[in-house]
Amino acid sequence: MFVYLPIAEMPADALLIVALSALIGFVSGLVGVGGGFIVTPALIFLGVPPAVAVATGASQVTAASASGLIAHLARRAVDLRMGALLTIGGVIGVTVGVWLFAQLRQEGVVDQLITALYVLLLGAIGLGMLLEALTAARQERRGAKAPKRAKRSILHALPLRMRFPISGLYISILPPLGLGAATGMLAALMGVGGGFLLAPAMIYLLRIPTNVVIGTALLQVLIVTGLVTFLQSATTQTVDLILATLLIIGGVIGAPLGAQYSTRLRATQLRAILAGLLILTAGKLLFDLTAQPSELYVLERAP
Amino acid sequence: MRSHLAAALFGLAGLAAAPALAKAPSPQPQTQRTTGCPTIVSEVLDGVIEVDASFRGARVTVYGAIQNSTMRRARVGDVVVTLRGPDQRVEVHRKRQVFGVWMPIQTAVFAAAPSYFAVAASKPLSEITTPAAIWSENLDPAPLARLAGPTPADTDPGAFRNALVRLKRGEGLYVSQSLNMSAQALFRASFELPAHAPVGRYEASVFLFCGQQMLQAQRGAVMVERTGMERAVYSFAHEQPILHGLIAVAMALAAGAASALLYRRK
Repeated sequence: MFVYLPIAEMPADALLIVALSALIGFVSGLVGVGGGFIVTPALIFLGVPPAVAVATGASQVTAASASGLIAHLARRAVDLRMGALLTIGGVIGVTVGVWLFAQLRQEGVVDQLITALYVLLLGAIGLGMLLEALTAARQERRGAKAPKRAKRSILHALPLRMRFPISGLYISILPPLGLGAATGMLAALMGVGGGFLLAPAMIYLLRIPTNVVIGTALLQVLIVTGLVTFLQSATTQTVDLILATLLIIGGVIGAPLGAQYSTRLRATQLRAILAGLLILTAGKLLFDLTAQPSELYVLERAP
Repeated sequence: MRSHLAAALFGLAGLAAAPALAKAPSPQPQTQRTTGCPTIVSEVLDGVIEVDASFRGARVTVYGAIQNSTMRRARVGDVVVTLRGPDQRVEVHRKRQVFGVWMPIQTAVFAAAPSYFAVAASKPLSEITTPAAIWSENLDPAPLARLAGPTPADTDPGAFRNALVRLKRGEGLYVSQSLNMSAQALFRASFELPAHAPVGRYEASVFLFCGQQMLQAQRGAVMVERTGMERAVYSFAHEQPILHGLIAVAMALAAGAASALLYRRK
């Protein structure tokens, strides 16, 4: 069933897009990543102009994370206080990111620099998580207990400490704000929710319990991608409502299934899946950057 | 591929007086007629192409006939038909390897280049007329692409121009094809307009060449327009951007909430 996408100015197979979005929604529900870093490249691969893919992909992530967030709220697996701090940071980050993006655009081509940054971040985080998950799995098999709590770190030395009862933390509010701002900035620069960075950072930097991480990250991703959708739609008119509808339908079918299924998986398995996803994405990006291109020239329709 | 059959006539005004009034709108008008050369009458189908939710491309058909001075059809001369889409600003980037990474760091900006350009000719253009006429009569998209400024130092502007044409061909937006001509000197050019061709005003031109000289040109327009729901969604996005953005977000939130509640009840 083909429909014509008015803003992307191309026809697309509606069922294919719904199915694709459902699959991505399932994965995002499973591991708590927004899925934006899969949706946007997938849309570009289907021929959607990158600007439209970035902006419209954000709306799919908004829907999928709204669905996931409600499911996690029902299980009381959301640290609202932590989520609020991350979100405040995220909104600041998006605002700065949009401005920075415009500045970098004027300087020249920034896409490659951003992609290279992606490769480094995803690769490092993915490898780190994978090693950690493997170690934890080995310890579980041996019956040994994983180290319960981390030592005091710089997080505990910073001022403005606050209690986070759900996460069982008493840390400064500055790291969550900074983390939220960093991911919000990435969301604006790369058109992704930033959940794939947020979730591991919450686990490894803030030491938030894994079962609370996903719901809390979804709260931040929801607000940040919602803001990106709105800003892009209001300023660049690159949100395609028809495409968004198809993506949202698929996303809300897949995401709750993923969230339900995630409760049957162990935390180490979840982390291994997320790590695998990050490494695969980094590998693909690295290949795109360094492989000898068959066509040396690229066209870009200027606004 | 759907073909819209809203017929619009063009070029028939000159029908009766055609033999006497044949003229060329070229910089070097052909003042003298080559003896024995005919005239053409032509018509374009699909004067308006509607882009709606089911749009998957369209076919634009231009047809006509060559006739001699006694109004009989004669198979003399060559016919070239072009279909040119609205001009667009386009950037061509050239990739260079920097520290192992392929970066599109060299950019040529074309202030205006045809978004779509199709040409159908009764035989290869180089056999029909001279390179100068191919340029002056706009029979080739390459010279129509206008650079906004100089290309980066130590680059060849021609290479960027060639890349533009090659990439556009790859996208199916620059097309050259042959023109069907029957024994009775009827000709027909059918252009497949892909679904990703932009909306706007397309100009169809029919040229008659005889002895390498352009004798007659007829022009007509094809409008590719958004319509129906497709148009409504597009204009809404551009006329009410803030409301549109709010609706996009609200839709996402509502759908997410609905699905979460539905799954929970199960």
